Amino acid sequence: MAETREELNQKISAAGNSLAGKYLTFKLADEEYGLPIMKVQEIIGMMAVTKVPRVPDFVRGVINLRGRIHPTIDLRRKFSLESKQDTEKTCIIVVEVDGHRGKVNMGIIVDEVAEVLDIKASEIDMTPEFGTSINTEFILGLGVVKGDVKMLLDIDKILSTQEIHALDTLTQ
Amino acid sequence: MSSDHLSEAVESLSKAVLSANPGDLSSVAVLIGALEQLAAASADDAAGATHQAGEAMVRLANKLLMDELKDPDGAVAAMAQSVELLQSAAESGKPPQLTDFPELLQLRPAAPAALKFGNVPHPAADQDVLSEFLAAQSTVLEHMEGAVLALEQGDQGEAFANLRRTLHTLKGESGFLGLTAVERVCHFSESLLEDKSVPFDAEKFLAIKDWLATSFATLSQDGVLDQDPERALADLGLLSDPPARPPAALPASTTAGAASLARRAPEQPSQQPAPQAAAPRPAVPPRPSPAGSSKDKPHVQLVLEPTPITGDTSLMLDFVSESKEHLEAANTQLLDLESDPTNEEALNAVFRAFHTIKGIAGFLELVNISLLAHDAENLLDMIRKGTLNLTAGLMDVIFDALDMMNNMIGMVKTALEADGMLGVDERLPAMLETIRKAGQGEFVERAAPAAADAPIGDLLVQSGDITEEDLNEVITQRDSGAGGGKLGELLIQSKKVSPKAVAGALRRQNAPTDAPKVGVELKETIRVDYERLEKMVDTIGELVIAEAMINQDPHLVAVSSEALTKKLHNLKMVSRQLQEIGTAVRMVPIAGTFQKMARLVRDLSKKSGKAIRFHTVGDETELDRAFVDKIGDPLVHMIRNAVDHGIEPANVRQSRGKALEGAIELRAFHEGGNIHIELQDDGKGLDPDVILAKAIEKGLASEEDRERLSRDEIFNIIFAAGFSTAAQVTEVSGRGVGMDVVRRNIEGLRGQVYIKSTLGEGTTFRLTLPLTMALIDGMVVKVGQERFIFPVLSVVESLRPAPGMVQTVLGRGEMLSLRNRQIPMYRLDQLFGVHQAVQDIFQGLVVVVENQGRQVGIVVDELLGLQQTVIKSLGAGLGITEGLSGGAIMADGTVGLIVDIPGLIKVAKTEGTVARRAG
Repeated sequence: MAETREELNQKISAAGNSLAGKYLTFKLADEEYGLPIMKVQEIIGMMAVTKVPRVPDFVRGVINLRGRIHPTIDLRRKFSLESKQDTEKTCIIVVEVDGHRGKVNMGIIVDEVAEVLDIKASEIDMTPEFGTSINTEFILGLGVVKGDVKMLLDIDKILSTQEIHALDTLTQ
Repeated sequence: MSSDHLSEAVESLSKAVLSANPGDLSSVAVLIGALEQLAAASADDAAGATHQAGEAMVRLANKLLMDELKDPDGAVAAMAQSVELLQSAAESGKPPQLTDFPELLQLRPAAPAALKFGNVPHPAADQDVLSEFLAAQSTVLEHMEGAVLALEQGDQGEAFANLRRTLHTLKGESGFLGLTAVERVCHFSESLLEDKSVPFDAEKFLAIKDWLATSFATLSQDGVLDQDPERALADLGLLSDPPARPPAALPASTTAGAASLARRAPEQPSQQPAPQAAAPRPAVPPRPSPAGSSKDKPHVQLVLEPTPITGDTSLMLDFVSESKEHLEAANTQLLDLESDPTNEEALNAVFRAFHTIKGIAGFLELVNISLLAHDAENLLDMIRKGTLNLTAGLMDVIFDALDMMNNMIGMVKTALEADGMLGVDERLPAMLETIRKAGQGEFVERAAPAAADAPIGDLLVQSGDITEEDLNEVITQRDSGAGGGKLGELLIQSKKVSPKAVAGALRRQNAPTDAPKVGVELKETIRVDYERLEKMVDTIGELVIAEAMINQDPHLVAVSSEALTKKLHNLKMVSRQLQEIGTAVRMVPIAGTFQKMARLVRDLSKKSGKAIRFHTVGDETELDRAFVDKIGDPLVHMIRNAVDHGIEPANVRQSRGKALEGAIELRAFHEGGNIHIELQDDGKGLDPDVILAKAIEKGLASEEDRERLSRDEIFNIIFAAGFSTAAQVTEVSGRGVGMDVVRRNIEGLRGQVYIKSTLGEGTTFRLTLPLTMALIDGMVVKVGQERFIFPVLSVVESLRPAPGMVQTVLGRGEMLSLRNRQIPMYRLDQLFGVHQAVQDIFQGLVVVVENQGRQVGIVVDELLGLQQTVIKSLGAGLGITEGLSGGAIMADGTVGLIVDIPGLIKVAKTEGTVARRAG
C-alpha cells in the first residue's frame, strides 16, 4: 500500500467538493481501478461479513459499521475475476451510490487500496471499444498517469439496485 | 408611485409579453425580468392592484419557466390581457381593479383572510402562534368529533358544553389569527348549535369538522388558507340566514356577492341533507368585529367563589405542565426584556405564553386564568404594536401578572391533587384593574397584604432560595419606605431570588395543607420532537448492543475479578432499564385510533341503513407510536367488512331472533408481551362452505382442498387478493381488496391476524402485534456456520423429532406428524443455500412456525438462545431479500439476519413446486 489507510481517509475527508479530477485508486487482480473520490465515504479493513441467502453471488453479505448495516459487494466476483483468499491488504471501500430510491451506502471489497490521484483532463482517455464480448459500461474512461492505466469506474452503474434486481431475477 | 417608472415598466412589459413563447425559455426569462420590473415600480402601493397583478404574473411566469403549467399558452394569453389592462389604465390614469384581471392570476379579492395574515406587524411571532395553533388542532378536532358522536347518542349535558366550548375557542383563536373563513364557520356552527328550535344534526357538524380538518391541513401545508368564508358557509349549509351585519374584514364587493349567495342558498340543494337549514329560526347576529376579536372583552364573568373543576383531568394536567413550561420561559424572557426593553423576540415570547394559556384555559373553562391571560395579552400586544412604552413600572405589572398566573396555575394543580375545588386568588380583581389601568398608561400603587410577607420570606429561606441576611436586607429596605410592594416582588427585583422560586414559595404558601389528598397524583409531561425521540431510542439500542459486546468479550470473561463482574452486571442492568424506558417512551394510547373508528362505524351505518351499536374496550391500551398510523387502514377495512358482510339487515336479524341493532366491539389489550386488537361483530359469521365454493370458483383453491383444509385455513382464504363473497360490489365493500390489505399491513408490522367465527353468531378478528417496532424478541438458531433469528411471535414450538414422526411424501417432501396433524417441513439449509448443515433430521431441530393459521416446520441445526434485538434495515442497496425481514447486530458485533416467516414460507412453496416440476 502506497499510503496507510489513515492517511487516505484523511485525504478523502480533506478533499472537499472541488475535486472533479480526484480518484481513489485500488488494485484488483493485476489491474488498477479508480473511484471518483466524492463517492468514497471511508476505507475500512476487512471485517466479518454475514452471508445473506438468496442474493446474487457477487454480494458477499452485510457488515455492521457503527450500528448501521451495509451490503457489501465482492468486486472480483462482480467482474468475474478469479476469487482469491482475503489477505491483510484486503479492504472494504464504503461508497455512496445513487440508487433509484436515493443515496445508498455500500461496501466494496478490493484487493488493496493504492492512493488518491489527481488525474488531469489531458490524462483521461475514452474507453476503447472491445465489441460485445467485454462489457465496458461500468467504465467512465481510462486514466493514463505516468504510463500506468487506471480504469475509472462508474460506481453508480456497478452497484445500482436495478443491476442487483436484474441479476436477482436472472438467478431465479 | 412613480408613474414614469411605472409606465416605462408597462411599456417594456408589453413588448416582452408579445414575444413570449412558452416553448422558448429565454423569452420567458425576459418576460419575468419585465414583470419583476413592474412589481418593483409599483411597490410603493403594495396593496394596489398593479403591484398585486405584477407579483401574481411573476409567480405565473416562473411556473411557466419550470414547465409546471397545464396550459402554458393560456397563461401567456392571460398575461397579455393583464398587460393590456395595465396599459389602458396607465393611459386613462384610472388605477385598475383586482377584479378586472383574468382569473388565472388568482387575484380573487375574496381571499384576504390568510393573505392578510402575512401583513401583521410581527410575522415571525405570528407564524409561531399559527404553528402552535395548528399543532393543537388535531386533538381539538378529535374532541369535537367525540362530542358530536356523543350528542348524537343523546348525551345532552357534557357533550353539548364540550362542543360549544370547542367551537367558541376555535372561533376566538382563528379570529385572532385572521383565519376569517374558519372563524365564520365556527361562529355560525355555534349559533346553529345553540339554536334550540333546530334539532341537532350530526351530519352537519361532522361535515364542519371535516371541513375544519381539511382547512387546517391546507393551512399547515401551504401556509395560507385561500378560502372564501361565505363560500365555505354556503357549502356547509350554514348560511340559511343572511348575516345580520357584514363582516368587517371583507371588502364591500364580496359582501354584496355573499349576500346574494345567501339569498340563493335556500333554493340551492346543499351537499349535505339539511332540511332545517331553510327552516325559519331567530337570526343570530354575528359577533361584532372579527378582526379585532383579541381586543374584545370575553363574554365571561370573573369567578369569585371556589368552584369545582369540571374539565377532563388529563387535559387539565397537560394544561398545568404545559403552562408551567410557558411561564418559566416567559419569566426568563421577561428578565431579558428588563435588561433590554427593545428585545422584540423576548416580548413576543411572553406574549405567546399568555396567548397560549388563554386559549387552553378558555377551552377548559378556567375562567379566571383565561381572563387574566386575556388582559395581560392585550397589554403586551399594545407594547408590541408600540402604542405603549415599556417602562419599568409596566415591567412590574407584567411581572405581577406572570406571578399571579403562575400562582393560579399552581392552584389548579393543588385543586386537582386535593378535592377538586379550585380556589380563587383574591388579588385577581385588583390585578386585572392594574393591568387595565396600565393599558391606559396609569400605574397605581400596589396594595399588598402585609400579613403574607413573613411566610413568603420564611418559605424561601426554608427552601434555600435565599439566605436570611439577604432577606433581612430587602425587608429593611422596604420598611425604610422606598415604596410599598410585596416582598416577593421586591425579592425578584433585587435579583436575590428567581421569580420561579418566589412563585414556588407563593404556591406552597397558598396550598391548603390540611386539605385531604384524595386527588390524582400529578404527572408532568413535556413535548418532544418525535424524530429526536426516535434517535434516542435508536441510540439506546446501540448502547444495549455495546454493553452486550463488552459483557461477552472473551478478554473480560477471562478476568476473574468479583468487583469487575459486579460492575459489569450493574452496567447490564442499567442499560436494560434504559431500554425499557426507551420503549415505554414511544407508547401512546390507542384511544385516538378507536375514536376514528367510531366515526367510521357511524358513517357506514348511515350509508348501509343498518343500525349498529359500537363499543370500545381498552382505549387506554398503549402501543408503539409507529403502529398508530399503520393500523388505521387495516381496521378501516375490517370494520367495513363487518358492517357490510357481517351485520345482517334488520329484517334478517329479526327473523333470526337477534337484537335489531347490530353490535360491533373493538377491544385492545396486552397479553403475553404482545398487543392484541380484536374486532367482534354479532353478524352472520363466516360460512366455510361458501368461502371454499367461492375460492374454487375463483381458482384460489381446488376441489381437493375441501378435504385437506382445516376450518381456520379456509377462513384464511378471505385474505387472498381478489377474494370476495359479496354478490355485488357495494359502495362500502366487495371488491376483494380489503382483507388482502389487512393481512399485508399487519404482516408488515410483524403481526398476525386470526379469525374466530361461528356461523350465525358473529366473527372476531384478532390482530396480534409486537409491543414495539424497534425491538424484536428473537430466537437465534444455527444452521451450518450461519445464524438466523426467528421472531418469537411466529414460533409455535420447537422440538427434536423422534423416529416415526417424520414421513416422506413422494420421496421428496417431508411431513412432521405432530399430535395427529401433518405439518409440512422445509430445511432451512436448502432454502437459504447454507453448507455444512446437519443432514440427519433426528439430530436437528424442527421449529414449528405459524402464519395465517397454517403451521410449517423449519428444520435447523440447533437453538442458540433467545435474544431481544434492535431491528435494522439490511440497507436499501441489497434490493429484495426473500425470506428476510432485516438484520440485527449480534453480541459479537456481526450482523444477524432476521427471518421473515411469511416470506420464507412463500419461498418454500415456490421452491417446492420447482423441485417437483424438475423431478
